[in-house]
Formats: sequence, C-alpha cells, structure tokens
Amino acid sequence: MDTENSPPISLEAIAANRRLIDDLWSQKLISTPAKEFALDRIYPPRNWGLWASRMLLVLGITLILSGMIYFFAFNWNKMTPLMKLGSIQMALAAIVMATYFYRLKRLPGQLLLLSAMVLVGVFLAVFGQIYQTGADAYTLFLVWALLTLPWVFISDFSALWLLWLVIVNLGVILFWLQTAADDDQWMMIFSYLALLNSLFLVVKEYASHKGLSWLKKSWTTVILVLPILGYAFIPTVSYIMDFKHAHAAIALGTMLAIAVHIVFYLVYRYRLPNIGALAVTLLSAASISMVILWKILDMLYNDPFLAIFAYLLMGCATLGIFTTVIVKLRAIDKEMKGA
Amino acid sequence: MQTETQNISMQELLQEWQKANLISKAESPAIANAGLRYQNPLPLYLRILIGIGALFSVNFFMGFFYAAHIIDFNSTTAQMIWGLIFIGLAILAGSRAKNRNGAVAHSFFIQTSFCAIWLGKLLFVMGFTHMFRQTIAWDQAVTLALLLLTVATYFLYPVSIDRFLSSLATLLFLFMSLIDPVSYSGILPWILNLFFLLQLVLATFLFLHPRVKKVYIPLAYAIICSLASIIIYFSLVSHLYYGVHTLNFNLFFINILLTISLTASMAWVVGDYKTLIKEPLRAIALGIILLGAIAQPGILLGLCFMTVGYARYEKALLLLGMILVPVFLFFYYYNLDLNFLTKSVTLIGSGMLFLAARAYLSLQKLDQEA
Repeated sequence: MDTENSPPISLEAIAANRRLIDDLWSQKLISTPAKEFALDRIYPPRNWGLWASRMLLVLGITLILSGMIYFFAFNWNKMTPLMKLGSIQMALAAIVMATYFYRLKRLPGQLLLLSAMVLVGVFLAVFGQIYQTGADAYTLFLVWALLTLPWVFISDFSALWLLWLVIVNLGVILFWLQTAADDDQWMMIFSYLALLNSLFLVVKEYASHKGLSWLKKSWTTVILVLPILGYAFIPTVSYIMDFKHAHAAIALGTMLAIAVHIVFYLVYRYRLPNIGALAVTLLSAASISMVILWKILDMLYNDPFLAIFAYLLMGCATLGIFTTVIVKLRAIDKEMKGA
Repeated sequence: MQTETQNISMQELLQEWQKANLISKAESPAIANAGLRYQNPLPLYLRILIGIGALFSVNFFMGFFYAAHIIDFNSTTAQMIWGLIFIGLAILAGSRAKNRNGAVAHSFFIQTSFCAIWLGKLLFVMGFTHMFRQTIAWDQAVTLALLLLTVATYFLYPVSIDRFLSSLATLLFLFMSLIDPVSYSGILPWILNLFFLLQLVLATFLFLHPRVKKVYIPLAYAIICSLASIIIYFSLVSHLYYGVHTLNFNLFFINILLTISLTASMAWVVGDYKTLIKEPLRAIALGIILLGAIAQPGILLGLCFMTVGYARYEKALLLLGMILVPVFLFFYYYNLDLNFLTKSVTLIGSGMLFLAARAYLSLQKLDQEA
C-alpha cells in the first residue's frame, strides 16, 4: 500500500533495481543466470579489498588518536609543559607531513588531516590549561575553527568540513552562554546561529556550483538546512505560544524563520532542486502550522467542554496538513525526476 | 571500474537479456507485464513523514476520546473493541488507498489508515494488558497482545513502516519480558541465548536467501534492530539487578554465535569455506577469531551488518553497522579495567595492528582500485 500508486506506463520509465529483479526471479519469470547478469549489469562488482583497507585505516587512526588522548590523561601531572606541548606539536607536524606525502585526493591523506584537526584542538586545550590564560572556553573553539579553516578549503573532505561546522557552532553557543546579559538577549542566539549557518550554506552552494565535487552531495545541503530550521523553530514557537509578551529577539527570530522557510522552498524547489532539503523545510513548516492552529484553538475554546473538540480538530487538521505536504512532495519529486 | 549503481531501464534490460540469450522472445511479454505491475515503495523520507504525521494525530485523537469519554478507559472490553474497530477501519482505508490513482486521495488514505492502525493497536494493547493484569506480568501481556496484532495484520495491512514497527515492538517487549528473573530465574540465560540464536538465524535467512519475498524485508530489519538493541542493552548493563536478584549474564555463547556468523558471512562473500583457509583470507579469518576471543559481541555484530549490507547493497544495514562498530569499540575500551597508561598502550597497539593489516592487504595488492 505504501508504494507508488500509479506505476509507470512504459518499460523505459521503470528503473531496474535489485528488488524488482528479485521479484521477477522469485516469480520464476527469469532464470538464475539472467538474475546474476542483471545484478552484475546494475551494480558494480564489490571491491572487498579496497573496502576492507579503508575500514582498517579509519579504525586504526581512530584507535591511535584515542590512545594518544589517554596517554596525555595518564601522564598529565608527570609531564613538564615543554613535554606536553612539544609532543603534541611533534605529532601534529608528523601528521601534516604524512598528509603531504599521501596527498589530499586520497582517503588516507584526508583522514590524516582530520586527525591533525583534532590534535589542534588538543593542543589549544593543553596550552590553555598550562598557562591559565583566564580565557573563556569559547575562545578555544573559535581559535580552533579559525586556525583550521584553511584546511577545510584544501581538504576535499566532507567529514572535515562537518567537524569544523560543529566546532564553530559550539564556539558560538559557548560564547553566547557566557556573555548574554538577559533573557531578551539570550534568545538572539537562535537568530545568530541560523544566520551564521545560512552564510555557510550560501558559501557551500556557491562552492559546489563552482565545481567543488565533494560539496555536491545532497546530504551536505540537508545537514546544514536541518540546524538552520531547528534554530529558527525555537523563537517561532515561543512567539506563537506567547506573542503578547514576546520581546524583540523572539519577534526577530520569527521573522527570520518565515524568511528562511520561503527562501529554502524557492531555492530548493526551483533553483537548486533538492528533495531532501525541501522535505525538511516542509516538515518544519507543517509543525509550525500545527502550533499556530493549536494556539488559535486554545484561545477560542476557553470552555472545557468545547476544548474537547480542539483535540478532534487538531487530529483532523494534522492529517490534512501532512497529507498536503506528502502530496506536494510527491508531485515535486516526480517533476524533479522527470526534469 | 564502475563504483556507482547504474541506471538501466527495464526496456534496456529486456533487450540485453535477449541479446545474451538469457530469455527468449516468447518469455519477454510476461516479464514486461510483471515489470509494469511492480510498484516501487514510496521513498524513505515520505514514509518517515507519514509516520510523524500519524504519530501527532494519534495523540490528538487519543486526547479527544479520553476527554470526550467516548471510550471508557476503565473498561477493558471497550478498549479492545474500539481497538479492533480502528484496525478494521485502517485496513479498509488502506485498501481504498491501493485502488486510488490520484496522489491526493492515495496520500490521504495512507495517512488516515496509518493513524487508525496505531490508534487501534494502542487501544487493543491497553485493553488486553488491563484484562490480563491479574494473571500475567504487564510486559508479558503487552508482548502477547503485540504478537497477536502483528501476526494478524502483517499481511492484512501491507504498510512497510507498520510491519517494521509492530515486529520491532513485539521483539523488544519479548526481550523485556525474558529478562524478568521472577519468571525464568533458573533457565533465563539459556532462554536469552536461544532467543538471540533464533533471531540471528531468521535474519540470516531473510537477508541471504534468494527466494525471500520483499514483504519480509520490514521483518528482517526489525530483527536486525532487535539484535542490535539486545547487544546495546548488555553492553550498557553488564550486570542485571532486580531488587535482591543479581544475574550475571555471560555473553560467551552470543560471542561464539557472532564469531561463527561473521566467519560464515565472509565465507559467503568469497564463495566457500575452503577459500578462507588460503592466503590472504587466512589472516582475515584469524582476525575474526581473535576479535571473538576479546569478547565484544557488538563489534562482531556491527561487522556482520557491514559485510552483508555492503554485499547486498542494503544501505540501511551498512549504515547501522558503520554506526555500531565505533560505538562498541568505545564501549570496549571504556569498560577495560585498566589504568590510563595501559589503556593508552592497548589502544595505540590495536590501532597499529589495524594499520599493519591494511599494509598487509596493500602488500598483497588486494586494495587496488581497478
């Protein structure tokens, strides 16, 4: 039942896949050699050696890095500051040299650079603890992000870019938690984070448009759209639930949320078609619509008896809203596939 | 070497089969008809949206029935009857959806039926549990109710998310009731081992047997998630405490099972067991046995998922394996009863061992891109 309701009318429109081939084979319409021929044709032969080699590399590097962190933890008190900082710097230099040797076009080089990025953070943490500079925790994250930014540009590696995004977001959140004066100001963090990540999204789209292939994958867009919508969602819900007492930060956040939803819809529907980003945008819009409706019903039905019907109406409205979103997405998906 | 899945239409494939003499001209129309009748499942993101929508609406309808006193929540019979009515309505709406060609009607009926089936199942389970509260423990009653519902609706209500969630809920509640030492104090470890073994065998069959129909895929994934949950549970709680009862559950048997499974899946990948004792696979086989010896079933389970997922192009299974392996590696090293220095040496040593294995593959020229 949860299948496409209108099967394609021509064989050209049907994409052969493993499920379909298995289906034909289980109905005994095709022989085993025909099945194997089709699967070989559709799916590339698996290169197990290469796959295993990559897995071993990722796990090996992760374990060695974790081991180094445990080593510092154990010898913390016994090590002189010079030993602490010197050993991290030496490891860092060795990893960067190894990265140069392996080249950034290959996975080993990219993973080594990712390790170097982690070590920069370790170095900054150790530096801060030795010299007790009195600097706040956010400076560590922001300096870390700043120092490693050039690596993001040259790495050609989405995992490194993702780690960098996490570091920046953490830095900004910590900065705000330590500096925000009052509630009003505190709520502004969501707008700032939404704007900052929107800026990263714009840069990402521009870079992928200019030919950076590692940023062209659909998930790299969705992974940024998700937090932006999440940050925009919080002040919007606060505004809807208590708009009479909403302060400027909440109102601004709500306006930003409206703009973000409209822009995302237009961009990912027409300019840079991306069904994943659209689905997330529409899900967020549907959730906000439900909150609005709940608030309206809450205001209308002050009487407890009538309030009962608010539940019924909300249930029906939820079905209606999600049906509309699903219908819309199916139509857009069809359109995108046809284009 | 091509590394991505190729987009080939059914038309092209039919022509290529004919060219390669794998099908005759007389067979073509039947295959073409079957291809035209085949319906692709809705994309995953749409199924997730359907699920989220249904979850929200179920809560609101439940609130309505409770506040309006339409359903007497103190009466077990009323809850069960209402549950069955909703399940019936869901099946009816589902069959309507199947016959609708318009996207609006189809989506609406799917959404409505999914909401109704969850409402129905929830009410039935509540009523059933309430009814048997004097005779059996509540978790056993829930398991029994879920089992009844899953078996009864698996074919009647052909929605993959419902099949997956119902099967998973049944398996998880069954596990919950199995770890209740009041009922199974003496033989509990054996029952748990048997439960794990049965699930492992069933999952292997469902994923690897070529004649398994696509209708069982949700069940296969439910079993996979259940196996992962069991291992996660035992990794988090190495000792189970129940008041005065303390049960030390030994994962030895599960470990052996998973070592055998991983070796078997490797043998399946390479074709037969004999190849495993030849160079260079001998080293991999020995590595698996070594991994089994260090007693971390989660890593073995994750590797099994990754191997089968990679071989069968099951992206979800591969992804689950890729998440499980580092998580269990963390658990393993975190739980090692060693000081930081020994732990650090062990970690660096293991990492070196992994890199040495990689160097070995490279030396054998097994990691070359064609």
